[in-house]
Amino acid sequence: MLGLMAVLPVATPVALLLLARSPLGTGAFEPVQQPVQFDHRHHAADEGIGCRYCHDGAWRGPSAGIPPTSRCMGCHAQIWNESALLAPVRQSYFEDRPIPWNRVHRLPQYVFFNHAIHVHKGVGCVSCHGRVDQMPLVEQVAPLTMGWCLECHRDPAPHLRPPEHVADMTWSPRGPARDVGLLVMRALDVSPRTECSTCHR
Amino acid sequence: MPPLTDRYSLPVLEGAEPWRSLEARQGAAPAPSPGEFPLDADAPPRGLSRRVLLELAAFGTAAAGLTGCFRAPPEKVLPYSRQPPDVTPGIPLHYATGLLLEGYTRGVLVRSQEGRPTLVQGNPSHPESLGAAGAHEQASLLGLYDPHRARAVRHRGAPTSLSQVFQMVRRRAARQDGGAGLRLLVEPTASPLWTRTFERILARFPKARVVPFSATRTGNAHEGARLAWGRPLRAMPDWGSARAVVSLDDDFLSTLTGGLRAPREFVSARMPPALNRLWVVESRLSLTGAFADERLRARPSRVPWIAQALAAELGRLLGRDALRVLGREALEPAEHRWVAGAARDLAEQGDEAFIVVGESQPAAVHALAHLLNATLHGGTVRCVDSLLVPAPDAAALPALVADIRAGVVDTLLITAWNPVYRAPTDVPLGEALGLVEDAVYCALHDDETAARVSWSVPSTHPFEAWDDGRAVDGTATVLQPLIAPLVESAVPPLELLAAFAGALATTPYERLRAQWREHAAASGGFEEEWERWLAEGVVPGTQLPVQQAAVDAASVLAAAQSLPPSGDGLELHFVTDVKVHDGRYGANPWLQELPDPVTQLTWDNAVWVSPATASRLSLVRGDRVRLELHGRSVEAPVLVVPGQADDTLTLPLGYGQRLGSPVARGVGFDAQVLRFQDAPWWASGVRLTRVEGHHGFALTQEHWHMEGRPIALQTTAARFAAQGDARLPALQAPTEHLYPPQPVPDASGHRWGMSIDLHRCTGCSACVVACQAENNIPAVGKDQVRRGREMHWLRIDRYFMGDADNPSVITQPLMCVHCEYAPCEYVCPVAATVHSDEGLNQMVYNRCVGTRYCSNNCPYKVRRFNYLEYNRGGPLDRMYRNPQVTVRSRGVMEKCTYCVQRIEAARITARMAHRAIRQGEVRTACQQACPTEAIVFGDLNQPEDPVTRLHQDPRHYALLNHLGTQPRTVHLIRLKNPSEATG
Repeated sequence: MLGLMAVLPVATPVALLLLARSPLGTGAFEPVQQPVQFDHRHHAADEGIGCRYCHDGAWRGPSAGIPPTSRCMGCHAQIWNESALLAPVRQSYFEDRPIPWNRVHRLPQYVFFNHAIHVHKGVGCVSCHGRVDQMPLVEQVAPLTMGWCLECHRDPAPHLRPPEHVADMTWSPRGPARDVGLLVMRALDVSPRTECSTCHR
Repeated sequence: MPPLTDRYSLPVLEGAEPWRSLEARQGAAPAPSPGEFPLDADAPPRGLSRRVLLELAAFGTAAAGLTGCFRAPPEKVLPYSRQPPDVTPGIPLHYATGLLLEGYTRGVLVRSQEGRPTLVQGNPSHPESLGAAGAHEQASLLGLYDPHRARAVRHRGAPTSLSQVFQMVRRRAARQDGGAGLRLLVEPTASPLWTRTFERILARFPKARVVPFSATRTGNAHEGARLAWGRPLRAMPDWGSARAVVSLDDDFLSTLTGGLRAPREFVSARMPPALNRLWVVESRLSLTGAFADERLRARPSRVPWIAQALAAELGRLLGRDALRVLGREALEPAEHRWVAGAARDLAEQGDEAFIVVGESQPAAVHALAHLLNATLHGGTVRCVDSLLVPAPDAAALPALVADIRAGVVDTLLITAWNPVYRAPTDVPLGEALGLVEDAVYCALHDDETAARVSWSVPSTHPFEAWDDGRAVDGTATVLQPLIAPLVESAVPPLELLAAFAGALATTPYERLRAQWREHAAASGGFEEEWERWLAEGVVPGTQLPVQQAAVDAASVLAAAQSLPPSGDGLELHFVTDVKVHDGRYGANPWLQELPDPVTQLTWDNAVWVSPATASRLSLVRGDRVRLELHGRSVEAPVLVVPGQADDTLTLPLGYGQRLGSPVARGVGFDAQVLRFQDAPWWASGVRLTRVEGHHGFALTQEHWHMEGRPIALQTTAARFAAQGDARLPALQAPTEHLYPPQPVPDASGHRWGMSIDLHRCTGCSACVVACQAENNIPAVGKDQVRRGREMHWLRIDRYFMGDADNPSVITQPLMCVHCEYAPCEYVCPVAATVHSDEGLNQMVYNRCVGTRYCSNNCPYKVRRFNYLEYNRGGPLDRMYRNPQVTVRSRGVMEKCTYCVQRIEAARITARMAHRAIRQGEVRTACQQACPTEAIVFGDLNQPEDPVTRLHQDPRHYALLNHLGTQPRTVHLIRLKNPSEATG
């Protein structure tokens, strides 16, 4: 009993820290319910619609963005235009009110992440978001902790790919990943920073 | 190790030691005694004891559950349903528009974040902005999101609907009496659309009247121009070639009254080695007076006589006998010296010298200045046509009140800001408004005027409506809206007039386009032209031609000779406030909290008295007095201000509002009570009596002691050219430092640095507001400022030097100087403030635990601590925040970051394009706003970067260099150019 009392002051913080970094703490691997039963498996895998068709912001700015309802209606005005599953989409479009999606990847407010620079320097979508094309409901697969970010910022080589394959869910390096990554680093002048103000402003 | 001071003696101040306030100079530190931090700075918030707080905190933890510790609560993402084509979420857009001040427009660029305006900057294409923006233009952003804006349409106090208002307006517009009962109460404006609307109304209703009202344009300058030229021209001094300037009570360096272009060009013409010389005569210490080389203080009624003496002296020097009839009053020795020196300078510089006159001076003095300028410039003066419609006329408002009382007026449309509050005290506009059956007032707040009229209608903010305007030089700008009205029932003021112009069927946008279609007709292709005008923010080819106008000497001299003699005894002196102007910016917390550049007063106004007058009347700071004039009286606190003319009581206008926004309500006292229509700017015969009580001011200059070290430096140009400055070598050479060396930065990267040229700084405070807007800095309120908890990252220190009666003044912008060896970094127990490889002293909010050790160890006192949750706010407060900067919460230290969000944004843009960051690509918010380009930011690793050159300038020095902190921000010593005769 006494032994336990002595261990407790040390064990409790350690346990809490571990808990915070576990999927339970980071919220990873929990499919998030959405107001519309949107299935990436169908759109991205079966229909072969590229990530960029809907998430163009990732190539241009800090936020990848969720597509406007008008993007959905671009196709669904023609196909499945009477499907009950799409009723909230039609309602959003015709009433000009946004669809209230539930956020899956959330960073704290003091973290400033920019999609565009990562995409342009050869970080694949799949590297952080996982096989979204196999997810019935999108879930977070990466812990999104600072340690996880820094791991790649300190040694990006194994995680990089040629920029034309950034959105390719199935791409894999021909040869050792580090060698390919080093080539990409040289070609794209990749030099990630680890200063605090790179992400915290 | 012996203390550093033993080996490195503190640099000694030459001659006069600077001082921050009279109280500090006299050694009588005001209670509460300011230590390094003001007393009470760390006191807990009132009403919630520490114990209760802890209990609440404990409860909160238990209730939140375990995962609440690390998991953020679920959040919604709301994408557009239809995304506007130009918008990419996260990438700001910039739109050119303009803001109206005193009838004229200044071009601005507004940063829009997914449709929300978040920052106001200057428009580099606009001739009256040149890329700079004053404090007021920038703070107008807050006015847009003001939660206290008027929301309800009211008829005699009861809520009604807009359709009722327009029904009434249509009924009144269908009148057949030629408009005999129709009056418009408006501010003089240069807007072509407004001008055209007035014309249309007067064409349909010839008996109607458009009544001009302005508390600040009392018609003096206008009348003076008429005296000199026979028509209302506007002098356009060529500031860029100014070798000698004489200002007769004209505060042209203030961005509010002088604009942005005059300070830029004047200061640029002043750079060493060829300094120009500024002569100022004024009654209170203004920014222009603080910048002057030769300053004379004089009671307000004395200034016209000094102008006459100057004319007589100039006549003697130039052999113009006609001028020598002037100047009959005897001058005091100081006045005589100033007049003789100024006249000699003017005569020597000839057509590169000129005289400018403030609005408060009588028309004859304006005319006399035009005559003298013409004499200096070979017979003519550079002028442009005055565009203001209706022409300013102080007699118009009393005539309107007389009409109302005579029962003539049945319809009155008021678009002028709060005329009831601003009307002269002997013009009973408020009571008269009750007699008008349909008086409609369109404004942003439910203020004194709204309470008196029969119909009050919420107005749109300038960022919510289409309009147009012209700058002083005539350049036109189409003012485009940035956001749909945030108040549902808001109406653009022009809409109320439109019905009478017979144009209610069209939208304001259509009317604006119809008007400008005519301008484009000549060049063809209206649609493309229109798009270009909107994109650039200026309409090309609209500048007014500069004329050379000859002056009618006889009528000017006659008018000058009939000026009344100067008065005796105490004189009241009204000035527009540097922050709230005539009160219209009183609802703006950023401006209320901005320290007055001269007095450093926030959230208040006061009766300014000179030290000599104060001691004669046994008054000290904070004493309350009652001022009585012609049966009206007001009680006000006293502030003893160095540099104030003796026997002059300066009363800043714009405070003491009784209704309207709660931000402005009850702040300060209302000086308008003593302002009569025949004496709008000064009055004698005032009675001053001391009353009970003491007033506590929130003055910021006494916060943040600097322990008497040489901080803000100035010397004379002649001495500097001959022998340099003895203080500088010790402040330039690298010294030993106490702290362990930092890792040597990578020479291939960037070394960000800044320079602040005190020689260029006028103290206008545009940078302070720019920093506040860009970096989400909260306003904290008077009570918190009194405890020294103001949050401004960038402050402007003001030091006096020499004689308390007429001191030399220096203003010094100061923010984190990003030390190479930063004392703050070594004491942080949690590494929340660390050095970056590019030399930035980074502040990591999420690591900060609030020990405040860093602030204690900072020799520059530039760190700010969130004692309370200042950033709490409603949904409107969230809208104007810069999404690129963290909103800090309670218990976190913060300070200048060199706008690191802009550095990182530029880096990402550059790296995506596989190039380096270009020179000048990163501009900090303060640098961008500065009208005189005093602040320069750049990369010290680039030899051609302006900042590198300034870091090598012989005038540069490092603040507190003996500490060895090696600041990345250097200051440049200010030079003065006193006349040999008087200096």
